[in-house]
Amino acid sequence: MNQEISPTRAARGLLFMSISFFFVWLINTGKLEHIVHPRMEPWIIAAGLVFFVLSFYQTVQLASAPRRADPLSHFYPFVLVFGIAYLFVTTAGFQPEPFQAAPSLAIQTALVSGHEAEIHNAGKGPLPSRIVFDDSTYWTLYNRLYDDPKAALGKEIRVAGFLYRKKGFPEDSVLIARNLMWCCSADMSMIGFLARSSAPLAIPDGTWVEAEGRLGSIDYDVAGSGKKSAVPLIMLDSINPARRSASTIIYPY
Amino acid sequence: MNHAPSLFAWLYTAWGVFETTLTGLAFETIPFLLLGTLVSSIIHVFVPDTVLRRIFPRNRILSILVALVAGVFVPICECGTVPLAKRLHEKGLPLSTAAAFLVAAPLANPMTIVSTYFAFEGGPVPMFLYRAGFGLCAAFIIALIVEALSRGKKVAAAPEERPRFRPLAAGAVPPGRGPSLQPPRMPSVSARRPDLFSRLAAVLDHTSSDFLDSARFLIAGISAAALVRALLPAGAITGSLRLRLPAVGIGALSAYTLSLCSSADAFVARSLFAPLSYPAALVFLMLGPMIDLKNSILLARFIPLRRLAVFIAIVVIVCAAVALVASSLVRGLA
Repeated sequence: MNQEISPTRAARGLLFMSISFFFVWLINTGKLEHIVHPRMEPWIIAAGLVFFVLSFYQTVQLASAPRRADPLSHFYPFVLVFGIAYLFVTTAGFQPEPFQAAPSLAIQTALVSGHEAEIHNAGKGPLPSRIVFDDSTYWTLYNRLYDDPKAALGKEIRVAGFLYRKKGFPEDSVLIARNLMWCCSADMSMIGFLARSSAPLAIPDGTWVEAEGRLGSIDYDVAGSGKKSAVPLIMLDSINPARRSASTIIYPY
Repeated sequence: MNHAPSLFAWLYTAWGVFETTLTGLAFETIPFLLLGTLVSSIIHVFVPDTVLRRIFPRNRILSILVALVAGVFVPICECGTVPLAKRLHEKGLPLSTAAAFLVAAPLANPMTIVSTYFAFEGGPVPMFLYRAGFGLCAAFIIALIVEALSRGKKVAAAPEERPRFRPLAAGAVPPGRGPSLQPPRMPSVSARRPDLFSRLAAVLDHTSSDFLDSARFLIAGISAAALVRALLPAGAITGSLRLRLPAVGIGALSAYTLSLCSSADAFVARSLFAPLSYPAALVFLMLGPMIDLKNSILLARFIPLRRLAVFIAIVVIVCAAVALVASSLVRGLA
């Protein structure tokens, strides 16, 4: 009866239990979708389950010596990485802040991708006279418009997103942006449509807006390569702050 | 004085990129590392060495080929294959076979191929075929080089599996039998096979300690990758892609530093390189799953640094050479 508790087993049990509960919390609150693509959810559930079983095992074996003792310092990296993940999802992680999308790499990546437009599941048939974007059609329509901006000239457009101003944008121009996620937040990039109003826009960056206008096109150096090419431009009729949609993220695949 | 706000803005942006990348990579890799460790522990406890020896032929070239094929059917990312490959080597398979599995599995597994198909769908080249085909060729060449370098070296045995003999105490030998040069007769495996519960407990024990052991290094790796991403100047990736050789170099460097998951890297490759340089895209797609910054740090846990540096150099050179040859041979990849 005089058995001592193994500190290694106790620390392992606590760590595995915490990770397991963190996964459950992320799934329950829907915050997981801001870190990884929804198709990754089964893997996260499986890992959470394994963590829970490991935690249970370590708790049951508390009084027995483990194969190898872990110093406390072995647990610090986990505290660090999951602490940062917690900060990410609870603070700026999925707010429409422009910094989150790794602008140096991402914005040019996404815009090149869109402009090159080898087309993913591109919708067929002629474009309607009024183009309305929603989450399920965003990527298809985005590709079609970037593939051939001239084909949509003069058409009405309604799109929602968060405002983003890149250094060097004219005062009356903004990007109505969304985040695009292929697999996880590490590959997330910012995509969107350039929009121009007849007057300077006072709405601050990061505000979720709904915009309506007519489509034009503009020659723009999207890839930062010094080579300009035609991209869609929304000539704004109205742009208003709106209630944010459930997610700022588009999952194309 | 005017630099303070811009420095603050830069730090703010860099922190955002670091936080976003670190979190994404952690959630993309840690579950796979855990599942890979679990499978590795199951193999360790439940699969006798003899079974693996039956599956993998004694002929080392054939053994490498079997490892390449096995890799194709394992739906697990590069982080999960590291503990598996380590375990295969500990179970007595040659280093070249473990290396073949390590580089082939994340490259040509079903998840990677499907995502590459979707990423390049509608494009001018069937990149998913080229990635799998040329990637497996590169993996085969890498394994052959590893085989040539490691030929004659003893296969490592798992430390837990080495028989442990206690020195005999004085007088322990019965009189008249005399000292013997024969090792003591060990009880047969079947005679001392533990029950199922003990074996399951052993799996959980191994998984716990192996995961904790490896994950620290993986976290160091993804932190380094996130830091590189945060500090990378705009446009550093795409640079000059018009010339084939620099383009392949840029593709290889990008694959190594960005440390993307093999199930997502095809989309980034398409966006970054496909319009400008298919050789760069191909080397990016082949090299990234085989070796990257986060994996290098994880591998450093198991391989001495000098050998690891040689292995990384072999992988990079072979992938770059295969991409250059492929772009010369295949129309559309040039």
